[in-house]
Amino acid sequence: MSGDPTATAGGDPTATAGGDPTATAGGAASRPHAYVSQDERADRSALARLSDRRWFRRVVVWGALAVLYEICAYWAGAYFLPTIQSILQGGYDLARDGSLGDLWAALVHLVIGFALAIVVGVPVGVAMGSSKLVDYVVGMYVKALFVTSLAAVLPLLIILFGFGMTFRVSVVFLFSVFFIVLNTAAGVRHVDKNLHAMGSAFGASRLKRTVAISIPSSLPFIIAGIRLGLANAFSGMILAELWVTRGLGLTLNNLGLNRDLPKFFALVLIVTLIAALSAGLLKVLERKLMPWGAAATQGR
Amino acid sequence: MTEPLAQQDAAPAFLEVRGVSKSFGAAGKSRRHVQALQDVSLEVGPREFLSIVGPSGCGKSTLLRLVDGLEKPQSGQVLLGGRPVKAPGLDRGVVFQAPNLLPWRTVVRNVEFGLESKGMARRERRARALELLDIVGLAGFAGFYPSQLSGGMQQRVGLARALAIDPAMLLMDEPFAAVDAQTRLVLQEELERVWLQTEKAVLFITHDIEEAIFLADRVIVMSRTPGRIIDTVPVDFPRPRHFDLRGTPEFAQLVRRVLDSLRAQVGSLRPSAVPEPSIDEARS
Repeated sequence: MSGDPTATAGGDPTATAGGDPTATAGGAASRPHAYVSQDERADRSALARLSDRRWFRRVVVWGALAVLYEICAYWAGAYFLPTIQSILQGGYDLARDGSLGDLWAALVHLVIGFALAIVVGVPVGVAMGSSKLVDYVVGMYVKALFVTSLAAVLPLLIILFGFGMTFRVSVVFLFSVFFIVLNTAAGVRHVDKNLHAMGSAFGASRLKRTVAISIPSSLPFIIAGIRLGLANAFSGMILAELWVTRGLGLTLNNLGLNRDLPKFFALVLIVTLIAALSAGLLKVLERKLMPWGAAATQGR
Repeated sequence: MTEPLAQQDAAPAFLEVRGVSKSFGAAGKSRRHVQALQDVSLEVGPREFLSIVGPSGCGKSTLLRLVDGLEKPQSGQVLLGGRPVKAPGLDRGVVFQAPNLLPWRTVVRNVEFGLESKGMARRERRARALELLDIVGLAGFAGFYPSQLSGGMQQRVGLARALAIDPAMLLMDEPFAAVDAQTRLVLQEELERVWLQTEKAVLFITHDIEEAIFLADRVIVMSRTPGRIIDTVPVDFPRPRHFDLRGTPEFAQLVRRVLDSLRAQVGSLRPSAVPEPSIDEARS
């Protein structure tokens, strides 16, 4: 250590303790804070580095929640709250007795209804956003239906469509389409006017301006509407199932009535997981669809 | 007065603005009624670079929008190649004050925008756009998104987009107002270089007097609201012009002349500050 340049600096009083900077004896006497804080920093940085990791934070948060839930479950008793272990067992049982097949059928209805909502909602929203006349004529109905409690309309839909697939698809559609329409219309309405002036100046027709300027410009609005619509599509799907009490709805109903809580919780958790997963997929899609946004953040 | 002059010219004017007036808001009592332009007449030759300078709010931009066909005059006529302007067209290329690029398109696809309306084939479009990017000095940036470029570079893309459609006339609305002073000087020289290559008529609007003189063959000075033409200053410096031109006494003289015209305008807005009464007293 005698070769250390800071130690050989002769008259330096902090370097007298054998020249080893980590030796606490001499150094701590003259500059205690520097040495203590350095040690602490070394300790803390290991923990800090770990807590910067997203997976670590998630494990901590979810772990704490699981522990808390487990405590509550034991405290409340199996009659009110099933333990995590029994929920997992319930999920296994569901998979074995074929109830998940009903879930699959319900998800197919969801996908069809939601796809229809996008296919219809986006063009209607674009038309509403770009034409005052369309907004005036169609907007009235859209807004009226948007504020109506759709759950109250379900009996009417049953009269119209019966209990079959058409009914469930239409419920999912109605639950999600208005978010998409209204968000898209808002996005198109907020397009920078200067961009439209640019479009006109460079000879773009109205259709061309809609396709090349309005729609890409309002893509963030459209995707936000789709995400809101998706969340509502799931509640529409469950609600429709509960109304017709067949398939998934029947299962949920029976599980509740029989107080088969492990299976009930497992089923609800599976639906929640699927909903969360598809919302995450939409986020990925958003990044894929809007590379210029990602490019903008990279540039800074 | 202007018509016989125009007929005498060897090359007929490409753009003719004849006695144009334009006001906004309801005429009469309304307070919001603004007379933007009053009886404005001017001409731009087929290869002439005309600058219009004036205080903010003097209707310069309104004049440009009239020439582009985005607005219609209440009286008077705007003629382009002898025919009245009715709507925007690809014979005029506009460079806006803000770049107005489409953020979701790469630089080269932004330059292609006007060409798409022309119905040009994709490969031809791409070639033309790349050629223009090369001319404005952005050869290596074709695949970038606008947000990755500086303000000055975005304005160059705007210029390339306007030139790509090969218009007979460029309309430029304070294109360098939003970039920093050093970049502005560079862009001005670049614009002259590009313009000399392409030989188009230019209507260049600015509130920067030096910029107007440095670039133009002729500078038109406009008054504050209502916008009227108060002076026309011919600029005869040889081209290509160089940065050093700004240091010459001749340049300073022209700047002084434009400033004097503008200052007389500012003075006339405040009657109390003008020494006219004392002159009257001296006469009487």
